[in-house]
Amino acid sequence: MLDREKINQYMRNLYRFLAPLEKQEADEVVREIESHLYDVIEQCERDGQQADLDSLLQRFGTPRELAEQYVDHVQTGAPLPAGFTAMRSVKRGLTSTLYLATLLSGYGASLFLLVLGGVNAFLLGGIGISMSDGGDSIVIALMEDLRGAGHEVILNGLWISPIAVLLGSAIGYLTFRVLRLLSNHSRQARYA
Amino acid sequence: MSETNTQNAKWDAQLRKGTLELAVLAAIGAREKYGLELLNFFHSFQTMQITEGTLYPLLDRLKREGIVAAEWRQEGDIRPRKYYSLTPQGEERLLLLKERWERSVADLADLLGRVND
Repeated sequence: MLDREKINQYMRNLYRFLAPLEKQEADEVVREIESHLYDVIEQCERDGQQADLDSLLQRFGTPRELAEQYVDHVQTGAPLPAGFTAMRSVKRGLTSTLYLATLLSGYGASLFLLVLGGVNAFLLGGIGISMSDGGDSIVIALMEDLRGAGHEVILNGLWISPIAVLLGSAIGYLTFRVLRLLSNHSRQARYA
Repeated sequence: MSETNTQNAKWDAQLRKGTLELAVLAAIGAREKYGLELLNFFHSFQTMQITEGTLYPLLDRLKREGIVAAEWRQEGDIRPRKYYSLTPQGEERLLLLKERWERSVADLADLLGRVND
């Protein structure tokens, strides 16, 4: 493999492992390391020698090892002691559970409201909302069913549709943003 | 590598761990330097054989802490290089670490002086 290809491959891998950093910070790290590598190669050429690129890259460590040092500085100010690996696992586990719970509840609520808005519009306001169990629970059903069951309908009408659609969209969007945050957090925990 | 050399290398590595920050600040304090220049400078000292993988992340940390400043600069036809210099906070830190180092050396010299007493 040519020196340039080796350097490019190393840089691509390094950039991948620097993912928890801001893009600008990762770009800066890669730019500096790359500049150093070409500087060393040129220095060797000036001295009439062939640069030993493998040994040079080895002195940087693997892309993952090198990136970890930069990422650890961002997250903790210093690399974590070896015994803290158990905490990392717990952190990763918690993040995954929270991710799944947010995904199911957030998108679930969003989908429900969107469907409710759609069905209510289709039935020209045929969906009603009532209270039951002395105000402890809310029942959302077809108007005929609610009346048939003796529930007192407190809300109904076509106006429910746009509100449900708006609310469903907002919850869907918020869920998307929270999941993206959790995903970034999880990615950082993975590299920590 | 002989047993003595191995022991020496281990000792140097242990010592460097605690003193590397001071060494970097002292090296940059004299005159601003870019990474390779700094590394070549260190390699001219017998006990300062650090690697690129140690130096660059350390420089990054010092920059984040506001102890050193970094600036990309191009001189002539050569590619741009990132030059490091001490900030006022870095100069204070260098003085503080230098004082502590000199205190440690004096204490250790005192201890070693008593070995043959």
